[in-house]
Amino acid sequence: MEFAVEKTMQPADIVLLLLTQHAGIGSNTIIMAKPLVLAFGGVEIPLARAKVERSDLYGFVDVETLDEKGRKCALATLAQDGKSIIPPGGTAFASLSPEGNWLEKKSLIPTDAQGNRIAPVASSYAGPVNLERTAGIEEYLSHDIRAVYQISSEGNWGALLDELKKGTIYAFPYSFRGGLEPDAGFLLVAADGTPFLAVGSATKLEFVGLEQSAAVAEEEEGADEGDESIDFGMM
Amino acid sequence: MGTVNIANSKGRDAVVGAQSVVKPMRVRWVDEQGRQIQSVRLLMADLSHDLAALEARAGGRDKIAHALIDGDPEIDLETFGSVLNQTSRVFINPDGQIVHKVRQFEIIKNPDGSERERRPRKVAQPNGATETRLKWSGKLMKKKDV
Repeated sequence: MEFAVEKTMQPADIVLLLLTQHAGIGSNTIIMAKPLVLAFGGVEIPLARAKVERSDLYGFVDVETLDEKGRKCALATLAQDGKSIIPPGGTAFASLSPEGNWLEKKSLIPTDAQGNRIAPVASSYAGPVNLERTAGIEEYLSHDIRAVYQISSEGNWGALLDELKKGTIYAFPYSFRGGLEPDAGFLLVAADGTPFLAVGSATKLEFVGLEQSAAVAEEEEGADEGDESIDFGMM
Repeated sequence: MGTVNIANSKGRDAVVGAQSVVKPMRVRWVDEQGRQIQSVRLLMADLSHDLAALEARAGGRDKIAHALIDGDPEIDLETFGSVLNQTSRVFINPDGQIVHKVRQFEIIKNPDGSERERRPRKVAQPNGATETRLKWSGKLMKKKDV
């Protein structure tokens, strides 16, 4: 975001300018989406993507909350002191050492459950992504897909489309910003030939286990064996 | 463990318990000595120090600029940065005050954002086991049969 600060401006005017820009007044920033570049058959294909939202197909439900005077209400957080009302964005996460000292995020080390260091992955938009691995339908269906993008390209991607139309599904690690664990990206076409990029993560079915029997205390010797009936009404 | 009382039309009832499966932690953050760090949520700003509150207090947005240069009116040194443990979600009105009695409506919108239907929101009654006790079936059973 750029600010037009003139030499003749007073400090108070500059702060006011920053405030108005922060409040979104007069902002005309346009953010262009960086294309996802796929490498297939020796050709680099820049892809434009449009997210397919459920709400685009079926609509959506908004919940409106009104007070007794009919004014719109908003959700906020009430701190434990019972008086501080925290608006959205009014909290932050911090990392503390075992002694309770502040730690900078960049000084922390990500590890897996065994304590092995995890190497971060780069963003899929940082460079071309090689399409080398194909996936079967079983693999695709064993993923929890959380985002679907309709893709298009002005590049030479006829060969890739032909391959996809044969029913081939290409799989590759996908990470929007880069991070510790990439998602699974799948490139496939719908029945009408429209190509899509589906992003998700592998489902993990956890087996909880069979119900465990409660421990039964042994009856004491000489317990009243004469009374053979249990009266549930006494419980 | 959450429990739900269930019963059929004949009055036969039971308590069903449900327990969430705990997801194993896939990424652990450690410090340079390999010790597990702890994440905390901190108070960063509250409504009484946001732009609207400062504007009302200063008497205009242009005066906030002077106040920000002269001091730190947007920071409460006593509370900002404190660790948040037990917080509650509340509704606030446009004046920033907590509202205790609200009316809610569901607005069903078409894909283009136009309103299709507006109806009072129905809040589902909780059906977790509360004060309702299991009913006695009235049957007596032999010890050897149970």
